[in-house]
Amino acid sequence: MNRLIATFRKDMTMSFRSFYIYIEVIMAVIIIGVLLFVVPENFQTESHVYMYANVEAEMQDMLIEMMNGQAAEGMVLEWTDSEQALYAALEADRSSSGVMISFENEKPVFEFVLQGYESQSVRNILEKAFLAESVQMVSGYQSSINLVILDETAEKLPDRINLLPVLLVLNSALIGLFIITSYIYIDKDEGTITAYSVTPAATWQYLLSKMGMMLFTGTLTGLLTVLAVAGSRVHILHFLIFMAACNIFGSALGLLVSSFFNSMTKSLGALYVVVIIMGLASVSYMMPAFSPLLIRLLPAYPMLYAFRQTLLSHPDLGYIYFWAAAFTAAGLILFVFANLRFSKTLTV
Amino acid sequence: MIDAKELTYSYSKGKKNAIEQISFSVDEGEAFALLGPSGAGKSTTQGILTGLLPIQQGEATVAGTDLHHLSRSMFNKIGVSFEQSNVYGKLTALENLEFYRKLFDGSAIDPMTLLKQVGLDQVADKRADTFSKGMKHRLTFARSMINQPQIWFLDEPTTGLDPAIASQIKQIIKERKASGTTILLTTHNMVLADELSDKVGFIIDGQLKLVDTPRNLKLRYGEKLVQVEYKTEDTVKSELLSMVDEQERKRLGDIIHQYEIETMHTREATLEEIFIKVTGRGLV
Repeated sequence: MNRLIATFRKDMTMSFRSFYIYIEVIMAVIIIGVLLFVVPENFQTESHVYMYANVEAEMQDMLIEMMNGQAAEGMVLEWTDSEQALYAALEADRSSSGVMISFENEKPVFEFVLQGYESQSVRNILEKAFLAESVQMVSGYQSSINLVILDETAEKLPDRINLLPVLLVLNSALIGLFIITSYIYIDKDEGTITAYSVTPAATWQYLLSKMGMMLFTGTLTGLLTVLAVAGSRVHILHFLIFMAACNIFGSALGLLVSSFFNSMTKSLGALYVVVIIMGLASVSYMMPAFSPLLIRLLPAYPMLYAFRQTLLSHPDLGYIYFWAAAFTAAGLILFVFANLRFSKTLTV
Repeated sequence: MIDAKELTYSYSKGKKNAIEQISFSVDEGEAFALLGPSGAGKSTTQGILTGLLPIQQGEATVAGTDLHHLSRSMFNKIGVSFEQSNVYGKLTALENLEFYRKLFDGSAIDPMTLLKQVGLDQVADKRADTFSKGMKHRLTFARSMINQPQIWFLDEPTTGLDPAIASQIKQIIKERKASGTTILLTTHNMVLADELSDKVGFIIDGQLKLVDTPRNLKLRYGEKLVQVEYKTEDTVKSELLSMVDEQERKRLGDIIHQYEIETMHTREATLEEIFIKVTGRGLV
């Protein structure tokens, strides 16, 4: 135990004198800065629709009043004076769409002006939405839509906070993959692993100390980020326990991957692939409709949702602690394999 | 203290052996030098005996530990000074030694005492990455003594050091040898081996060709030589002549009669000359 503590203290001293730990902290600060000052608390969901009514003046005022009153939630109607003005507005705002209204034989004619990138399904939705709106104007119409909410406790996180799990997974939980490998290759290059190997200290103590260092920096940067962005919303204890579990898993995975290579350059490719694959889980997290089984099987997938749970008012503790135990167990198994491999290859 | 029997090791899964059938033993308090050119197999042999390389074939016992069943506690009894300096650049000299002291069981030498011995006490608080190559080498050497090893593995301990420091290092080795430390020295420096060792082994192409004491080797393979410097008309010439070979003895007589002798010394064959004679190869 004394050897492990001495090695850990030495590793911490050295990490504070090298730049890797500062890279992690700086990355955390950048993430905090971007989330607080660049990313809005909620993404804009309003869509602008530029309108032009090719009708007489009195008719136009009536039309504007009626249409504005019927506009769906999140839809902002902007009225223009001419067809040219409508086209100009659409060119200036490429996320908008346009509608021109005219009358033929006393019947209203709606002409949609789109940007061109909209898919057929979007075009259909737009058409049906206008149709539905029109139907509601028919006297005596009654909606038969019955809305049933399955999960009354379902909580929506503000968009800014909802992004946190993605960044926590990449910067704090899985960062160990790269950094732990760097530390090992620094020791290899200096030859200090060889010197350490001719002492009574064992390989597992060497590796565990490195994991401890990753645990410290990962937890520190994770806590810093989550406190700065989510404040008191985060459940600190659950968060710390889950972050520790993810870090153990990430570092042990990094150790195992790097044990198959004899240089940092060679291992970088493999580590890059691992991180990119893990990163795919964030696509499903951001777009839950796209969650194929292959992505749901990635360890990063439950990591993202468990981190999300630690930010909810009523977290699902069963989910958090099940995955915390699973990642800790998986990390320990990976560590045992990494230790076996390094015991044979560390000094050869 | 060290017993190696028929050690064979290959880095290429048996295609080519780095060492082959190496056998020797080193008794307690004895200094044994493994001599050979670069790539001869010295470091591989030392690597196996220090547990850095797994034992593939053969048997070896170090400080009572069978290397087939390596125990970490064996490392409390050994110290290793590497040819390539390997200290933590981000730590100071003192921090380096303080850290290693904590890794060993039992009593250790005070780090400052060691730094003083190798002349680094003035820079104890400086980071090792600011050190010159020679200073790092001395720190590596000092570290190898921190646990007061019973068996001391020294790989080229004076290589790259200036003569004054090299002499200081040799003195430390002599003192530890006098206090009973067993030493395994691997070097291609024959003068150093001659000065420090009780026994030497010539290793070449992975094979241990010969093991004996320097004195016996000189008696067996060496010949008395005379180094003579004499003046010709306008230059000073030098010749090394054997006192055993009849023709060379006659040549010495001729030189003495015909020329003015500047200097003349008798000397024994060096280990290097014997090495070349025995192995047919130089040391580079």
